[in-house]
Amino acid sequence: MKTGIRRTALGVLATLALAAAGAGYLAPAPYDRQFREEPNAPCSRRFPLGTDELGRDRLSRLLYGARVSLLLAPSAALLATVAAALAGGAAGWLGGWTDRALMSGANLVLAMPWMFLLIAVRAALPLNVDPGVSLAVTVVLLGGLGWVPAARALRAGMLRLVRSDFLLQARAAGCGTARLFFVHALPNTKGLLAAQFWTAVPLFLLAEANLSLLGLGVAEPMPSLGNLLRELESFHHVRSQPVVLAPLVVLVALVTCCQLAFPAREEGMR
Amino acid sequence: MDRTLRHTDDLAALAGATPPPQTPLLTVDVSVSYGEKPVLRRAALTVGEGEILGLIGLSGSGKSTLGLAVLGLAGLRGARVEGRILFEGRDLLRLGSRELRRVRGQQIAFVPQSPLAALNPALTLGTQFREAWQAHSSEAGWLGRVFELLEQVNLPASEGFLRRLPQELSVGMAQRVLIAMAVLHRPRLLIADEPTSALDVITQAEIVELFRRLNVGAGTGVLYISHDLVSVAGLCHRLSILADGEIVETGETRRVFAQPEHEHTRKLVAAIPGLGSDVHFFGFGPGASR
Repeated sequence: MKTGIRRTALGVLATLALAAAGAGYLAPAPYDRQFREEPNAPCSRRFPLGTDELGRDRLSRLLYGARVSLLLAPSAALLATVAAALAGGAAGWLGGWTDRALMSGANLVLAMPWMFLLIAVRAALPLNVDPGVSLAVTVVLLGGLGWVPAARALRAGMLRLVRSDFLLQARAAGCGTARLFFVHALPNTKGLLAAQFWTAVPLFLLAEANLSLLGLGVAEPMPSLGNLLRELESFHHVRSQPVVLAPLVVLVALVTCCQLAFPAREEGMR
Repeated sequence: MDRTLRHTDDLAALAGATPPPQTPLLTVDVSVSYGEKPVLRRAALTVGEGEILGLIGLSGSGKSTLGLAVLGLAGLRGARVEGRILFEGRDLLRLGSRELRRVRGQQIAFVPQSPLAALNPALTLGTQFREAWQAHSSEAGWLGRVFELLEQVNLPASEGFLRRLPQELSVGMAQRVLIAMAVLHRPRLLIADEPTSALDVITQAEIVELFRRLNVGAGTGVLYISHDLVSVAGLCHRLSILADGEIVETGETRRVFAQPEHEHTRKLVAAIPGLGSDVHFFGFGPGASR
């Protein structure tokens, strides 16, 4: 039963990822092409999901938007996981003042009013910021703010490793510090790091959606699942054209399938 | 003469046939404490070249700490070591970390208590052998040496075996792997920390025999740490008895069994099943001097 659900979730994820990756071939139009004579068009053969208020094809924007989100969330998760591996790994491995300094830094990040920071960063960027730049900034911000829980898990795991018999044995065999860390200790954190990565992906999918909804994430005209949700701001609009819910359905499907396909494993550490 | 005396004789007769050599390989005289709590107080012992010295003490008496102190690893467990540890004339406590690293694994090797926990679960046996080799040598011929050792410890000398992960081994096999790994660089001294305590009796006997062969064949000195007097009787040339943080008695195995001098040693000998009360009867046991 469990494997069945997992396989279905993986299948849905793979289909969505393939559709997003093939947006260039599958999308009927470029994501920023405006059909000025047909704004707010209902569903039709030409526009299967209709057009938005600027006359852009919704299906094309959804495909490209999914591609942006599916690129952004794993990138940010990778950044956060690498940062967590370095910070948490070093804190647990070195202990002492390095541990205290790194964990104080982590606490500081957690204590920061991050929404304020995000608004400040957005304000610092020019209004007509290049979409690529906004994408990169979003990745860095999400990764930069999201590494702390993973770093704490890594630190705890590394503390256990430092005290392990097999590391003592490797020391007794005369292995140097660098080899002990990279060859003997780090491979044992692979499971834990993978678990942290797969936990972060759905979180960052949602975080991007929240940021973009507030106009802080990926900038127009580049679509993302987050900024496509802005069409939901008007209740009347949703009632008259329920098809605007499509990005929400895709987002929920992605997040749910991520969690079903890669459940948070408690035994992440060997 | 009855069965019990023969049992005593058997144990003593099992003790290393060669007399303990005189040249000291390792001379230890250390005090160790964990924070304010002293664990060893001027614990002193000597392992001669090619000698097997049994360090016997109850659980928690500090024997493992002493073993780790010789390797310069007791600090990792939060211990503070004072005194001197002379190995081939050099005081290991005065060596820098780089020099100490060169000693570990190459000149003094370690065989641990829990074999399966001492092998890295994320690395194949081959990787672990290669790591142990490259810690001290950049020469290419490691695989040949590993196969030679695997044969010596009765394990399959094949690349297929080296591709295995520790989880795929039995405890006995894991201990053989660790012994092979320990003697990779032909060390002068092996520190074996209760190497048979996790094993069944038959495997215990095989491992003890392996240590004897290593000692006779390569002349490797062994500091054999154990809480079990009987298991070391057939192996060790001499015994040092550790109690309350001090070495209370040292002597040839035969003599320690036949005429234990310290009260604690007498208790240990008396506790051996089928030996205690009858030893008193024959006049050289625990009760004799009372």
